[in-house]
Amino acid sequence: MAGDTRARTPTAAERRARCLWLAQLASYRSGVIARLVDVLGSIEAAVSCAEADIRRALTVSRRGKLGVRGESGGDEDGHQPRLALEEEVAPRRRHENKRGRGRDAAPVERMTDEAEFAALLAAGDQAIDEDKLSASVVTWCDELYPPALRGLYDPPPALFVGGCCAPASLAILHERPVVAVVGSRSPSPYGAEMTAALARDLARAGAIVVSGMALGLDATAHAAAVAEAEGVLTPATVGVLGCGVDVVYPRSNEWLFAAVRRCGLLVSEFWFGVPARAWRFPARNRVIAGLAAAVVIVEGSERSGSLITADYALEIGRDVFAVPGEAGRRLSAGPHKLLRQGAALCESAGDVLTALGVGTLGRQIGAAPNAAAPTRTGLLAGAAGRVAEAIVAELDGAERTIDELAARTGSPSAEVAAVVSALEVEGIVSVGAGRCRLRRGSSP
Amino acid sequence: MLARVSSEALHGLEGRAVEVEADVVAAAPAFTIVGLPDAAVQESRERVRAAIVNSSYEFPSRRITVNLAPADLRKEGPSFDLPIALAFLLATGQAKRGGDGLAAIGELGLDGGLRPVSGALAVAESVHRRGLRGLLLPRGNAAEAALVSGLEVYPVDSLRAAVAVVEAGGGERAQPVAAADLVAGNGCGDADMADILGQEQAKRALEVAAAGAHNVLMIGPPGSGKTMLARRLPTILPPLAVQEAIDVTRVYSVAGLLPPGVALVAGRPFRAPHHTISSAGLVGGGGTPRPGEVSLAHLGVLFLDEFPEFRLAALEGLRQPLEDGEVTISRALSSVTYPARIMLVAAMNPCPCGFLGDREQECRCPSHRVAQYVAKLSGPLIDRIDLRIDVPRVAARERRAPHEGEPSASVRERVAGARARQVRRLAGSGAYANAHMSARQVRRQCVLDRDAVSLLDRAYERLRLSARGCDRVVKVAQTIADLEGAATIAVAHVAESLSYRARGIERR
Repeated sequence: MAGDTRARTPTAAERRARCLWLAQLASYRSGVIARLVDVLGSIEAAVSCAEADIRRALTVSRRGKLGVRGESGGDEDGHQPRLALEEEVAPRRRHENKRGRGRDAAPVERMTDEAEFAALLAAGDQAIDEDKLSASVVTWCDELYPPALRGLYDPPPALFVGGCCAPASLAILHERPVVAVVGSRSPSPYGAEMTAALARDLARAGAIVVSGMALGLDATAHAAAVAEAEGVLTPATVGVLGCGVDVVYPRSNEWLFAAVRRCGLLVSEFWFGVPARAWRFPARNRVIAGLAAAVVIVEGSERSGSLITADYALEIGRDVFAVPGEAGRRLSAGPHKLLRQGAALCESAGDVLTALGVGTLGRQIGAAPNAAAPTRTGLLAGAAGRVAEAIVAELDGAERTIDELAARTGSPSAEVAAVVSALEVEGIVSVGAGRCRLRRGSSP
Repeated sequence: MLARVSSEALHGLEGRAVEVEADVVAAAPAFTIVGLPDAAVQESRERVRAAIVNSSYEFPSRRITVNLAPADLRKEGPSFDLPIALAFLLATGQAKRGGDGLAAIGELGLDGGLRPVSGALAVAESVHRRGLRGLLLPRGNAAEAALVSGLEVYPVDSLRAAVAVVEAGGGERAQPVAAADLVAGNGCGDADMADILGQEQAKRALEVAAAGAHNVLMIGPPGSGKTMLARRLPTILPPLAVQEAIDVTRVYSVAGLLPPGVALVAGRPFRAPHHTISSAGLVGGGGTPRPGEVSLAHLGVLFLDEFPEFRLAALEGLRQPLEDGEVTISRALSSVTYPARIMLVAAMNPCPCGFLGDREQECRCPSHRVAQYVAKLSGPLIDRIDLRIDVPRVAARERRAPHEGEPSASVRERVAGARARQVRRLAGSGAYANAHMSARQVRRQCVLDRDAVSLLDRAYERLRLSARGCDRVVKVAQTIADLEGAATIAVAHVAESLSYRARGIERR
């Protein structure tokens, strides 16, 4: 049978089936595609070669496996990120220890993946019922396959798509500028606000915001883009998953999954039902970088997973932007490291859009906080209006506590607290952890 | 021969009449106590025997039966030692009764000396109500008992001295104490709001809380002064009224926490139990019910530091006292009610490590830990907390600032004024402060002007307040208006009140 395949050019259906089989294999072992590209030259070759060649390529050496790759270090893709693994895996292991599964929970889980992989490898590519899947899968051989992804060294053989408008709307990735916005899972209020403003303005300008559906800034970026696109028919955001497209991880982001399904796309290179595992997140980051024309990193420590995305982006020649943070803070270390290495500075969506050669579509972006407006409620009209102006002036470029504002404006704390509340109601100021700050782009 | 001495048993915060009867007959030597005595009362046989012998009385080889009537009331504790010994001495003819209408309580030492007992104030009040003339009790308890006007209080040091008083039908009397003289100061020692540098907003929030008896939650990193602020809250509360001070003293006396020789707890209580406290310790209980921290804080402040670390069961137990101002502890045979009208001050860090949102130090908590920590705040108890304040750390330059804060005394005056206005407005409604208004009362009694209504409406929309959250904002705004002496709630009051509302502290 293998001989048959070799003898003639495979049909389109066979090529699709092959892509799906490869996608299955790649869902259960890290580096499968990279290994095939190493041996066979390209994914195109893998799609049309004999099944036996693929078996041989994948079994001769297990160097493609997670861990071994990390040790070898010298591979093209040898920057397999150790730190991201730690970050993702550590809490999980602790969690499992509590349930008494012991320290070696992780090897067990890798074994299951490995067993699955072996079974799939043995079964061969005939077993997949491709018709059933066609509604939600775009393979390497399809025209809908995002062209940007083809630039990766080891592009996913198939993309699984979720969301209301899937998968034909993947075409939108051909037409619209795509920008990835990624950052820390535990951001500061500043990072959250910058991310929200960036994502909102990018979406407003017609760009697609790509991120990783994780906690923290990823969620902020998706949510802001969704909010901007509410009611519009075309998707504004693409969430790239490190698990099957029908799996919700992390669970606490369920609200976000629902929102993105409504107003965007969920994309994954992993087979249905595949659970989130540490090694799948760096792989996801690769897809994020691959999809985007530019990657913006907002906040992250020096060992942040966002830097992996930036590395992938640099490797395939995407623009990398970093949003500066306060000097000396842990969360500023990641972006600042990138800036030092030559990443472009990003203060607003305009920076990214200009670099991509995209206009702002006629709309004002990143408007400065509107200080003159607070005349709406009775409180902000009279004498307190002057206090309000003074407060807004004090907050320009700094966070202040109520007491600091009181000391600087010379008004009693109670009055300052009242005025700040009124400004908060008007959406001009936000308050968190006892500090007040101006909301960015708070034009009504 | 038979003899009878009046005494009292404690039931909750009340004394119950007990008659101690002793019968001595010529029969096989024995000493039995009947009438539902607990272990401490049974042991009193040994103390009484030794005290009698060591006071140079005779302990005859006869059959001695002591009955504590009524027989169906449980008798606890060592306070029956003295009446048993007196009844015995009267029954054996070693003492002669000089006059009627005297009750006695006290614990005997083996040498015949007397030790103070708990609950003397409640006993003295009950003795007076029964129409008895006077009360013999250990000298250490005399001061509190002397608060009961019209009762003859005879402090005694030993069994012999007690016999002397009984035989004479009187003797050295304790000076009656006028509670009014003792409540003059605020009784809070040296603590004063002026001690706190900076934290003006938090101080203002505490003033508002004090004025409306609102419960408070303070959120801030370690070392920002939450505990210091809470400790000074009693100093800005209006001074205890005479009857209130007596009520507080009764609880302390029953709990055995009144130091010997002290007549009255004159200051508002401040209780700060550790977060490992059990449910029984916090709300009261135990085999023999005892008042818990929530009752010891009656009319004062209960401070729960590290609020989310408290056991859930213990916190749940606070719901009834916060709602009703009292705790009822039910046992199979009886139930006991302790007062518990408190202001709850809770304090917590913004996250387990404490530095979430802090400017100088980075928070290193994983986000799910923060979520778990904050999730403990949900639930019905949090609905009873009207004010939430962020207490950020004070910047160094402000700590150095030479200016003094406002002293507690002047804040207290404003608070007292606001409380007086509330009492007038709420007269006859059952509530005594704004915090205790029902949702219905809020709608009826709180008058907002037009601007205030429009701000509240906008806030409801823009800040996504809940209906209950809105009620809380109005309640607190009413208190702020009361502090100012304003008749209606103006926009500034609502705006300030909004700054004390619950904000999400989780990050997303």
